[in-house]
Amino acid sequence: MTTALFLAFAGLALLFGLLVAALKHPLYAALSLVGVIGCLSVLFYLLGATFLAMVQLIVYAGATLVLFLFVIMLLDLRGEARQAEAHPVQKGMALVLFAAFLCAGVGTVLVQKLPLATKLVKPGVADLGRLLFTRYLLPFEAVTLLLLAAAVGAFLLARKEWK
Amino acid sequence: MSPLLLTLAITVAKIAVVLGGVLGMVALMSWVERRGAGLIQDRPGPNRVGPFGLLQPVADGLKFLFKEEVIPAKADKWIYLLAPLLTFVPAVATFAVLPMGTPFTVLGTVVEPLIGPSSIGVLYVLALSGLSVYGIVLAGFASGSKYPLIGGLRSTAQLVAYEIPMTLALFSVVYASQSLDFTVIVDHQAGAWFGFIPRWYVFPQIVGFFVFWVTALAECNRVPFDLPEAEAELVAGFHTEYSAMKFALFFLGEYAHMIAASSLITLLYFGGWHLPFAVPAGNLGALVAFAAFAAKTGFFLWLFVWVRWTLPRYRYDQLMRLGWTVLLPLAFLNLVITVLVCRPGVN
Repeated sequence: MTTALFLAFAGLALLFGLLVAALKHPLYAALSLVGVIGCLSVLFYLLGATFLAMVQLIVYAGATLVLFLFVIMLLDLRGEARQAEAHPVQKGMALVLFAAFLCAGVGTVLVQKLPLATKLVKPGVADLGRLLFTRYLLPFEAVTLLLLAAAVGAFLLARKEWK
Repeated sequence: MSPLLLTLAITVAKIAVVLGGVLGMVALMSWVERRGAGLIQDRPGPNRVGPFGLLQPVADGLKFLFKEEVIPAKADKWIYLLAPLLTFVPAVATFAVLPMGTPFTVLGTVVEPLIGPSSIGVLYVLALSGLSVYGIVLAGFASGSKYPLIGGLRSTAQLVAYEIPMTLALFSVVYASQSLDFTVIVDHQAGAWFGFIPRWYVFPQIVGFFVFWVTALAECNRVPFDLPEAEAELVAGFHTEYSAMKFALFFLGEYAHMIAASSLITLLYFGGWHLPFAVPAGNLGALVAFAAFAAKTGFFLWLFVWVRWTLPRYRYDQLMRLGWTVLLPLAFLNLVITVLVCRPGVN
Protein backbone atom coordinates (compact mmCIF):
# COMPACT_ATOMS: atom_id res chain seq x y z
CA MET A 1 0.00 0.00 0.00
CA THR A 2 2.67 2.48 1.10
CA THR A 3 4.96 1.40 -1.74
CA ALA A 4 2.19 1.86 -4.30
CA LEU A 5 1.42 5.34 -2.95
CA PHE A 6 5.11 6.21 -2.92
CA LEU A 7 5.57 5.14 -6.54
CA ALA A 8 2.44 6.99 -7.65
CA PHE A 9 3.39 10.27 -5.98
CA ALA A 10 7.10 10.02 -6.84
CA GLY A 11 6.07 9.59 -10.48
CA LEU A 12 3.65 12.51 -10.26
CA ALA A 13 6.34 14.69 -8.66
CA LEU A 14 8.73 13.91 -11.54
CA LEU A 15 6.00 14.62 -14.09
CA PHE A 16 5.16 17.99 -12.52
CA GLY A 17 8.87 18.75 -12.29
CA LEU A 18 9.25 18.15 -16.03
CA LEU A 19 6.23 20.35 -16.68
CA VAL A 20 7.78 23.22 -14.68
CA ALA A 21 10.68 23.21 -17.13
CA ALA A 22 8.68 22.42 -20.27
CA LEU A 23 5.65 24.73 -20.02
CA LYS A 24 6.15 28.11 -21.68
CA HIS A 25 3.53 30.09 -19.79
CA PRO A 26 4.99 31.23 -16.43
CA LEU A 27 1.62 30.77 -14.68
CA TYR A 28 1.36 27.14 -15.77
CA ALA A 29 4.96 26.54 -14.72
CA ALA A 30 4.29 28.03 -11.28
CA LEU A 31 1.19 25.87 -10.88
CA SER A 32 3.20 22.78 -11.83
CA LEU A 33 5.64 23.74 -9.10
CA VAL A 34 2.72 23.73 -6.67
CA GLY A 35 2.03 20.20 -7.89
CA VAL A 36 5.64 19.17 -7.21
CA ILE A 37 5.40 20.58 -3.69
CA GLY A 38 2.12 18.80 -3.04
CA CYS A 39 3.61 15.47 -4.15
CA LEU A 40 6.75 16.02 -2.03
CA SER A 41 4.53 16.73 0.94
CA VAL A 42 2.78 13.39 0.44
CA LEU A 43 6.16 11.64 0.20
CA PHE A 44 7.30 13.25 3.47
CA TYR A 45 4.08 12.11 5.08
CA LEU A 46 4.57 8.55 3.86
CA LEU A 47 8.06 8.59 5.41
CA GLY A 48 6.54 9.53 8.77
CA ALA A 49 7.81 13.13 8.72
CA THR A 50 4.35 14.57 9.28
CA PHE A 51 5.57 17.95 10.54
CA LEU A 52 7.80 18.44 7.51
CA ALA A 53 4.94 17.41 5.21
CA MET A 54 2.65 20.09 6.63
CA VAL A 55 5.33 22.80 6.78
CA GLN A 56 6.14 22.07 3.15
CA LEU A 57 2.55 22.93 2.25
CA ILE A 58 2.25 25.92 4.60
CA VAL A 59 5.51 27.61 3.62
CA TYR A 60 5.98 26.76 -0.05
CA ALA A 61 2.49 26.15 -1.42
CA GLY A 62 0.67 28.50 0.96
CA ALA A 63 3.06 31.44 1.02
CA THR A 64 6.00 31.40 -1.40
CA LEU A 65 4.16 30.28 -4.53
CA VAL A 66 1.19 32.53 -3.83
CA LEU A 67 3.65 35.41 -4.02
CA PHE A 68 5.02 33.99 -7.29
CA LEU A 69 1.49 34.00 -8.69
CA PHE A 70 0.94 37.52 -7.39
CA VAL A 71 4.02 38.76 -9.23
CA ILE A 72 3.16 36.88 -12.43
CA MET A 73 -0.33 38.37 -12.40
CA LEU A 74 0.94 41.89 -11.77
CA LEU A 75 3.61 41.80 -14.47
CA ASP A 76 1.39 40.28 -17.18
CA LEU A 77 3.97 38.00 -18.74
CA ARG A 78 1.84 36.88 -21.68
CA GLY A 79 4.10 38.67 -24.15
CA GLU A 80 7.11 37.19 -22.39
CA ALA A 81 5.74 33.67 -22.80
CA ARG A 82 5.65 33.91 -26.59
CA GLN A 83 9.23 35.03 -27.09
CA ALA A 84 10.78 32.87 -24.39
CA GLU A 85 13.30 30.92 -26.45
CA ALA A 86 16.32 29.65 -24.56
CA HIS A 87 19.78 30.36 -25.90
CA PRO A 88 21.59 27.17 -27.08
CA VAL A 89 24.31 27.78 -24.46
CA GLN A 90 21.65 27.93 -21.75
CA LYS A 91 20.17 24.66 -22.95
CA GLY A 92 23.57 22.96 -22.98
CA MET A 93 24.46 24.23 -19.50
CA ALA A 94 21.08 23.12 -18.16
CA LEU A 95 21.62 19.61 -19.53
CA VAL A 96 25.15 19.37 -18.10
CA LEU A 97 23.97 20.59 -14.68
CA PHE A 98 21.03 18.19 -14.75
CA ALA A 99 23.34 15.26 -15.54
CA ALA A 100 25.76 16.33 -12.79
CA PHE A 101 23.02 16.55 -10.16
CA LEU A 102 21.56 13.22 -11.25
CA CYS A 103 24.97 11.51 -10.99
CA ALA A 104 25.66 13.13 -7.62
CA GLY A 105 22.27 12.08 -6.23
CA VAL A 106 22.29 8.50 -7.51
CA GLY A 107 26.01 8.14 -6.79
CA THR A 108 25.65 9.24 -3.18
CA VAL A 109 22.88 6.73 -2.55
CA LEU A 110 24.80 3.90 -4.24
CA VAL A 111 28.27 4.57 -2.81
CA GLN A 112 27.40 5.63 0.72
CA LYS A 113 24.72 2.98 1.19
CA LEU A 114 22.56 5.46 3.09
CA PRO A 115 19.98 3.89 5.39
CA LEU A 116 16.42 4.04 4.09
CA ALA A 117 14.64 7.06 5.47
CA THR A 118 11.81 4.89 6.79
CA LYS A 119 14.24 3.27 9.21
CA LEU A 120 15.30 6.57 10.77
CA VAL A 121 13.70 7.88 13.92
CA LYS A 122 10.40 9.56 13.18
CA PRO A 123 10.85 13.14 14.36
CA GLY A 124 8.00 14.58 16.41
CA VAL A 125 7.34 18.30 16.58
CA ALA A 126 8.65 18.48 20.15
CA ASP A 127 11.92 16.69 19.27
CA LEU A 128 12.43 18.95 16.28
CA GLY A 129 11.82 22.06 18.40
CA ARG A 130 14.24 20.88 21.09
CA LEU A 131 16.98 20.25 18.52
CA LEU A 132 16.46 23.66 16.91
CA PHE A 133 16.79 25.43 20.25
CA THR A 134 19.76 23.46 21.58
CA ARG A 135 22.07 21.72 19.15
CA TYR A 136 21.23 23.75 16.05
CA LEU A 137 20.58 27.08 17.80
CA LEU A 138 23.41 28.97 16.10
CA PRO A 139 22.62 27.93 12.50
CA PHE A 140 18.93 28.53 13.23
CA GLU A 141 19.59 32.08 14.44
CA ALA A 142 21.96 32.71 11.53
CA VAL A 143 19.19 31.76 9.10
CA THR A 144 16.75 34.12 10.78
CA LEU A 145 19.30 36.95 10.43
CA LEU A 146 19.72 36.11 6.76
CA LEU A 147 15.96 36.19 6.22
CA LEU A 148 15.69 39.51 8.05
CA ALA A 149 18.43 40.98 5.88
CA ALA A 150 16.65 39.71 2.77
CA ALA A 151 13.36 41.25 3.91
CA VAL A 152 14.98 44.63 4.59
CA GLY A 153 16.80 44.46 1.27
CA ALA A 154 13.62 43.66 -0.63
CA PHE A 155 11.88 46.57 1.06
CA LEU A 156 14.67 48.99 0.12
CA LEU A 157 14.70 47.83 -3.50
CA ALA A 158 10.93 48.23 -3.75
CA ARG A 159 11.19 51.75 -2.26
CA LYS A 160 13.60 52.87 -4.98
CA GLU A 161 11.11 51.87 -7.64
CA TRP A 162 8.49 54.22 -6.24
CA LYS A 163 10.58 57.37 -6.24
CA MET B 1 -13.31 -9.12 7.46
CA SER B 2 -9.62 -8.37 7.68
CA PRO B 3 -8.56 -5.42 9.85
CA LEU B 4 -7.29 -3.40 6.87
CA LEU B 5 -10.55 -3.81 4.99
CA LEU B 6 -12.54 -2.95 8.10
CA THR B 7 -10.54 0.25 8.66
CA LEU B 8 -10.97 1.13 5.00
CA ALA B 9 -14.73 0.51 5.12
CA ILE B 10 -15.11 2.60 8.30
CA THR B 11 -13.05 5.45 6.80
CA VAL B 12 -15.06 5.48 3.58
CA ALA B 13 -18.28 5.47 5.59
CA LYS B 14 -17.01 8.38 7.72
CA ILE B 15 -16.04 10.37 4.63
CA ALA B 16 -19.49 9.76 3.13
CA VAL B 17 -21.26 10.83 6.34
CA VAL B 18 -19.12 13.95 6.88
CA LEU B 19 -19.28 15.02 3.23
CA GLY B 20 -23.04 14.48 3.17
CA GLY B 21 -23.42 16.33 6.45
CA VAL B 22 -21.34 19.28 5.29
CA LEU B 23 -23.16 19.59 1.96
CA GLY B 24 -26.49 19.28 3.75
CA MET B 25 -25.44 22.03 6.15
CA VAL B 26 -24.38 24.21 3.20
CA ALA B 27 -27.85 23.80 1.69
CA LEU B 28 -29.45 24.60 5.03
CA MET B 29 -27.16 27.61 5.54
CA SER B 30 -28.09 29.08 2.16
CA TRP B 31 -31.66 29.05 3.44
CA VAL B 32 -30.75 30.35 6.91
CA GLU B 33 -28.73 33.14 5.32
CA ARG B 34 -31.64 34.47 3.30
CA ARG B 35 -34.31 33.90 5.94
CA GLY B 36 -31.96 35.52 8.47
CA ALA B 37 -31.55 38.48 6.13
CA GLY B 38 -35.32 38.69 5.92
CA LEU B 39 -35.65 38.55 9.70
CA ILE B 40 -33.02 41.23 10.30
CA GLN B 41 -34.23 43.51 7.51
CA ASP B 42 -37.91 43.06 8.35
CA ARG B 43 -39.00 41.29 5.15
CA PRO B 44 -40.15 37.69 4.47
CA GLY B 45 -37.17 36.17 2.60
CA PRO B 46 -37.66 33.09 0.39
CA ASN B 47 -40.94 31.49 1.52
CA ARG B 48 -42.53 30.07 -1.66
CA VAL B 49 -40.84 26.67 -2.21
CA GLY B 50 -41.98 24.14 0.38
CA PRO B 51 -42.85 24.87 4.04
CA PHE B 52 -41.09 28.10 5.20
CA GLY B 53 -39.24 28.05 1.87
CA LEU B 54 -37.16 25.11 3.13
CA LEU B 55 -36.98 23.51 -0.33
CA GLN B 56 -35.47 26.67 -1.83
CA PRO B 57 -31.91 25.18 -1.79
CA VAL B 58 -33.20 22.21 -3.84
CA ALA B 59 -34.70 24.57 -6.40
CA ASP B 60 -31.44 26.54 -6.50
CA GLY B 61 -29.42 23.36 -6.98
CA LEU B 62 -31.62 22.27 -9.89
CA LYS B 63 -31.29 25.71 -11.45
CA PHE B 64 -27.48 25.51 -11.24
CA LEU B 65 -27.50 22.06 -12.84
CA PHE B 66 -29.64 23.05 -15.81
CA LYS B 67 -28.03 26.41 -16.55
CA GLU B 68 -25.83 26.73 -19.62
CA GLU B 69 -22.11 26.27 -18.95
CA VAL B 70 -20.40 29.39 -20.27
CA ILE B 71 -16.66 29.75 -20.76
CA PRO B 72 -15.74 33.35 -21.65
CA ALA B 73 -13.83 33.78 -24.93
CA LYS B 74 -10.92 35.55 -23.23
CA ALA B 75 -10.67 33.05 -20.39
CA ASP B 76 -7.68 30.78 -19.85
CA LYS B 77 -9.75 27.62 -20.23
CA TRP B 78 -7.91 25.09 -18.06
CA ILE B 79 -7.18 27.38 -15.15
CA TYR B 80 -10.70 28.79 -15.44
CA LEU B 81 -12.11 25.30 -14.93
CA LEU B 82 -9.57 24.38 -12.24
CA ALA B 83 -10.22 27.40 -10.00
CA PRO B 84 -13.67 26.43 -8.61
CA LEU B 85 -12.29 22.99 -7.71
CA LEU B 86 -9.32 24.55 -5.91
CA THR B 87 -11.76 26.58 -3.81
CA PHE B 88 -14.11 23.73 -3.04
CA VAL B 89 -11.66 20.90 -2.30
CA PRO B 90 -9.50 22.52 0.45
CA ALA B 91 -12.61 23.85 2.19
CA VAL B 92 -14.17 20.39 2.39
CA ALA B 93 -10.89 18.56 3.06
CA THR B 94 -10.47 20.56 6.29
CA PHE B 95 -13.11 18.38 7.93
CA ALA B 96 -10.78 15.37 7.74
CA VAL B 97 -8.99 16.41 10.95
CA LEU B 98 -11.84 18.00 12.93
CA PRO B 99 -13.03 15.66 15.71
CA MET B 100 -16.77 16.09 16.19
CA GLY B 101 -17.38 14.32 19.48
CA THR B 102 -16.37 11.37 21.62
CA PRO B 103 -15.83 7.80 20.35
CA PHE B 104 -18.93 5.64 20.03
CA THR B 105 -19.52 1.91 19.52
CA VAL B 106 -21.16 0.33 16.47
CA LEU B 107 -21.55 -3.48 16.40
CA GLY B 108 -18.74 -3.89 18.91
CA THR B 109 -16.31 -1.65 17.00
CA VAL B 110 -15.19 1.61 18.62
CA VAL B 111 -15.44 4.43 16.07
CA GLU B 112 -13.58 7.72 16.46
CA PRO B 113 -15.64 10.67 15.18
CA LEU B 114 -12.64 11.80 13.12
CA ILE B 115 -11.49 10.80 9.62
CA GLY B 116 -7.77 11.50 9.44
CA PRO B 117 -4.80 11.31 11.79
CA SER B 118 -5.24 13.67 14.73
CA SER B 119 -1.63 14.32 15.78
CA ILE B 120 -1.03 17.19 13.33
CA GLY B 121 -4.58 18.51 13.08
CA VAL B 122 -3.73 22.19 13.68
CA LEU B 123 -0.92 22.22 11.10
CA TYR B 124 -3.13 20.50 8.55
CA VAL B 125 -5.80 23.16 8.98
CA LEU B 126 -3.19 25.90 8.52
CA ALA B 127 -1.85 24.21 5.39
CA LEU B 128 -5.29 23.94 3.82
CA SER B 129 -6.19 27.49 4.74
CA GLY B 130 -3.02 28.56 2.93
CA LEU B 131 -4.05 26.57 -0.14
CA SER B 132 -7.52 28.10 -0.27
CA VAL B 133 -6.00 31.30 -1.73
CA TYR B 134 -5.33 29.57 -5.06
CA GLY B 135 -8.94 29.14 -6.12
CA ILE B 136 -9.73 32.84 -5.80
CA VAL B 137 -6.48 34.13 -7.28
CA LEU B 138 -6.65 31.80 -10.27
CA ALA B 139 -10.34 32.50 -10.84
CA GLY B 140 -9.51 36.19 -10.93
CA PHE B 141 -6.64 35.71 -13.34
CA ALA B 142 -8.18 33.11 -15.65
CA SER B 143 -11.44 34.96 -16.29
CA GLY B 144 -9.63 37.37 -18.61
CA SER B 145 -11.58 40.38 -17.39
CA LYS B 146 -10.82 43.44 -15.26
CA TYR B 147 -13.09 43.11 -12.24
CA PRO B 148 -12.22 39.49 -11.42
CA LEU B 149 -8.52 40.33 -11.71
CA ILE B 150 -8.81 43.17 -9.20
CA GLY B 151 -10.90 40.95 -6.92
CA GLY B 152 -8.30 38.18 -7.16
CA LEU B 153 -5.40 40.51 -6.38
CA ARG B 154 -7.24 42.06 -3.45
CA SER B 155 -8.05 38.68 -2.02
CA THR B 156 -4.43 37.50 -2.20
CA ALA B 157 -3.28 40.48 -0.17
CA GLN B 158 -6.19 40.10 2.24
CA LEU B 159 -5.82 36.37 2.83
CA VAL B 160 -2.04 36.55 3.24
CA ALA B 161 -2.34 39.50 5.64
CA TYR B 162 -5.01 37.90 7.82
CA GLU B 163 -3.45 34.45 7.87
CA ILE B 164 -0.59 35.69 10.04
CA PRO B 165 -2.66 36.97 13.02
CA MET B 166 -4.88 33.89 12.70
CA THR B 167 -1.88 31.59 12.95
CA LEU B 168 -0.51 33.50 15.95
CA ALA B 169 -3.88 33.36 17.74
CA LEU B 170 -3.99 29.64 17.05
CA PHE B 171 -0.47 29.17 18.44
CA SER B 172 -1.49 30.73 21.77
CA VAL B 173 -4.02 27.93 22.18
CA VAL B 174 -1.48 25.38 20.99
CA TYR B 175 1.00 26.65 23.58
CA ALA B 176 -1.56 26.66 26.38
CA SER B 177 -2.53 23.06 25.65
CA GLN B 178 0.95 21.96 24.49
CA SER B 179 -0.54 20.05 21.58
CA LEU B 180 -1.29 20.22 17.87
CA ASP B 181 -4.01 17.62 18.33
CA PHE B 182 -7.58 18.92 18.41
CA THR B 183 -8.75 16.11 20.68
CA VAL B 184 -6.10 16.99 23.28
CA ILE B 185 -6.88 20.71 22.95
CA VAL B 186 -10.58 20.03 23.53
CA ASP B 187 -9.95 17.70 26.47
CA HIS B 188 -7.86 20.44 28.10
CA GLN B 189 -11.06 22.45 28.31
CA ALA B 190 -13.06 19.84 30.23
CA GLY B 191 -14.44 20.65 33.67
CA ALA B 192 -15.11 23.99 35.31
CA TRP B 193 -13.47 26.71 37.41
CA PHE B 194 -15.14 27.24 40.79
CA GLY B 195 -17.66 24.59 39.76
CA PHE B 196 -19.62 26.77 37.33
CA ILE B 197 -17.35 28.59 34.85
CA PRO B 198 -16.45 26.14 32.07
CA ARG B 199 -12.69 25.85 31.54
CA TRP B 200 -13.06 27.00 27.94
CA TYR B 201 -10.11 28.77 26.37
CA VAL B 202 -12.33 31.69 25.45
CA PHE B 203 -11.91 33.04 29.01
CA PRO B 204 -8.09 33.07 29.35
CA GLN B 205 -7.70 33.58 25.57
CA ILE B 206 -10.36 36.24 25.06
CA VAL B 207 -7.99 38.40 23.00
CA GLY B 208 -6.90 35.39 20.94
CA PHE B 209 -10.52 34.46 20.38
CA PHE B 210 -11.35 37.95 19.18
CA VAL B 211 -8.42 37.96 16.75
CA PHE B 212 -9.25 34.47 15.53
CA TRP B 213 -12.90 35.27 14.99
CA VAL B 214 -12.21 38.50 13.08
CA THR B 215 -9.59 36.83 10.89
CA ALA B 216 -11.97 33.91 10.30
CA LEU B 217 -14.50 36.39 8.89
CA ALA B 218 -11.78 37.70 6.58
CA GLU B 219 -10.53 34.25 5.55
CA CYS B 220 -14.07 33.25 4.59
CA ASN B 221 -14.47 36.47 2.55
CA ARG B 222 -17.48 37.41 4.64
CA VAL B 223 -18.85 40.85 5.39
CA PRO B 224 -17.32 43.15 6.65
CA PHE B 225 -14.29 41.78 4.79
CA ASP B 226 -15.87 40.62 1.51
CA LEU B 227 -13.70 42.93 -0.60
CA PRO B 228 -12.74 40.24 -3.15
CA GLU B 229 -16.35 40.39 -4.33
CA ALA B 230 -17.43 43.88 -3.28
CA GLU B 231 -20.42 44.23 -5.59
CA ALA B 232 -20.57 48.01 -5.51
CA GLU B 233 -17.09 48.28 -7.04
CA LEU B 234 -16.30 44.94 -8.66
CA VAL B 235 -19.67 43.57 -9.94
CA ALA B 236 -19.07 40.24 -8.19
CA GLY B 237 -15.29 40.20 -7.90
CA PHE B 238 -13.38 37.03 -8.65
CA HIS B 239 -16.46 35.02 -9.67
CA THR B 240 -18.01 37.62 -11.99
CA GLU B 241 -17.44 35.46 -15.08
CA TYR B 242 -18.61 32.20 -13.50
CA SER B 243 -22.07 30.74 -13.89
CA ALA B 244 -24.02 27.51 -13.36
CA MET B 245 -22.26 24.69 -11.48
CA LYS B 246 -18.88 26.41 -11.55
CA PHE B 247 -20.36 29.30 -9.59
CA ALA B 248 -22.12 26.79 -7.34
CA LEU B 249 -18.74 25.25 -6.45
CA PHE B 250 -17.47 28.67 -5.27
CA PHE B 251 -20.65 29.05 -3.29
CA LEU B 252 -20.32 25.58 -1.73
CA GLY B 253 -16.67 26.29 -0.96
CA GLU B 254 -17.47 29.56 0.81
CA TYR B 255 -20.14 27.98 2.98
CA ALA B 256 -18.04 24.88 3.71
CA HIS B 257 -15.31 27.31 4.77
CA MET B 258 -17.74 29.01 7.14
CA ILE B 259 -18.80 25.71 8.68
CA ALA B 260 -15.15 24.70 9.10
CA ALA B 261 -14.33 28.06 10.72
CA SER B 262 -17.28 27.76 13.12
CA SER B 263 -16.22 24.22 14.05
CA LEU B 264 -12.68 25.45 14.65
CA ILE B 265 -13.85 28.25 16.94
CA THR B 266 -15.91 25.70 18.87
CA LEU B 267 -13.00 23.27 19.19
CA LEU B 268 -10.34 25.85 20.05
CA TYR B 269 -12.18 28.30 22.30
CA PHE B 270 -15.52 26.85 23.41
CA GLY B 271 -14.59 23.43 24.70
CA GLY B 272 -15.67 21.44 21.63
CA TRP B 273 -18.13 18.81 22.80
CA HIS B 274 -17.58 19.46 26.52
CA LEU B 275 -20.38 20.80 28.67
CA PRO B 276 -19.85 22.36 32.11
CA PHE B 277 -21.73 19.43 33.68
CA ALA B 278 -21.27 15.65 33.52
CA VAL B 279 -22.74 13.68 30.60
CA PRO B 280 -23.80 9.99 30.58
CA ALA B 281 -21.27 7.40 29.39
CA GLY B 282 -21.49 5.16 26.32
CA ASN B 283 -23.27 5.86 23.05
CA LEU B 284 -25.78 8.21 24.70
CA GLY B 285 -22.88 10.32 25.98
CA ALA B 286 -21.39 10.38 22.48
CA LEU B 287 -24.72 11.60 21.14
CA VAL B 288 -24.89 14.36 23.77
CA ALA B 289 -21.29 15.30 22.98
CA PHE B 290 -22.05 15.57 19.27
CA ALA B 291 -25.19 17.58 19.99
CA ALA B 292 -23.17 20.00 22.14
CA PHE B 293 -20.56 20.37 19.39
CA ALA B 294 -23.25 20.87 16.73
CA ALA B 295 -25.15 23.42 18.82
CA LYS B 296 -22.04 25.51 19.49
CA THR B 297 -20.99 25.34 15.83
CA GLY B 298 -24.52 26.28 14.79
CA PHE B 299 -24.39 29.36 17.00
CA PHE B 300 -21.20 30.58 15.34
CA LEU B 301 -22.69 29.92 11.91
CA TRP B 302 -25.61 32.12 12.88
CA LEU B 303 -23.12 34.74 14.07
CA PHE B 304 -21.65 34.83 10.53
CA VAL B 305 -25.14 35.55 9.15
CA TRP B 306 -25.90 38.06 11.88
CA VAL B 307 -22.70 40.02 11.20
CA ARG B 308 -23.30 39.97 7.43
CA TRP B 309 -26.68 41.66 7.65
CA THR B 310 -25.65 44.10 10.38
CA LEU B 311 -22.27 45.60 9.49
CA PRO B 312 -21.21 47.65 6.45
CA ARG B 313 -18.12 46.73 4.44
CA TYR B 314 -14.63 47.99 5.27
CA ARG B 315 -12.76 50.09 2.76
CA TYR B 316 -9.68 48.35 1.36
CA ASP B 317 -7.12 50.58 3.12
CA GLN B 318 -9.05 50.23 6.39
CA LEU B 319 -8.96 46.47 5.97
CA MET B 320 -5.19 46.44 5.49
CA ARG B 321 -4.62 48.84 8.39
CA LEU B 322 -6.79 46.73 10.70
CA GLY B 323 -4.92 43.56 9.73
CA TRP B 324 -1.36 44.83 10.06
CA THR B 325 -1.59 47.49 12.78
CA VAL B 326 -4.28 46.14 15.11
CA LEU B 327 -4.76 42.39 14.76
CA LEU B 328 -1.12 41.42 14.21
CA PRO B 329 0.27 43.28 17.30
CA LEU B 330 -2.68 42.06 19.39
CA ALA B 331 -2.06 38.46 18.37
CA PHE B 332 1.68 38.84 19.08
CA LEU B 333 1.06 40.36 22.48
CA ASN B 334 -1.41 37.64 23.30
CA LEU B 335 1.11 34.95 22.35
CA VAL B 336 3.87 36.56 24.45
CA ILE B 337 1.57 36.86 27.49
CA THR B 338 0.38 33.28 27.02
CA VAL B 339 3.96 32.02 26.97
CA LEU B 340 4.81 34.08 30.09
CA VAL B 341 1.73 33.10 32.09
CA CYS B 342 1.10 29.50 31.08
CA ARG B 343 3.29 26.84 32.56
CA PRO B 344 3.76 24.06 29.99
CA GLY B 345 1.19 21.33 30.39
CA VAL B 346 -0.91 23.27 32.91
CA ASN B 347 -4.19 24.81 31.85
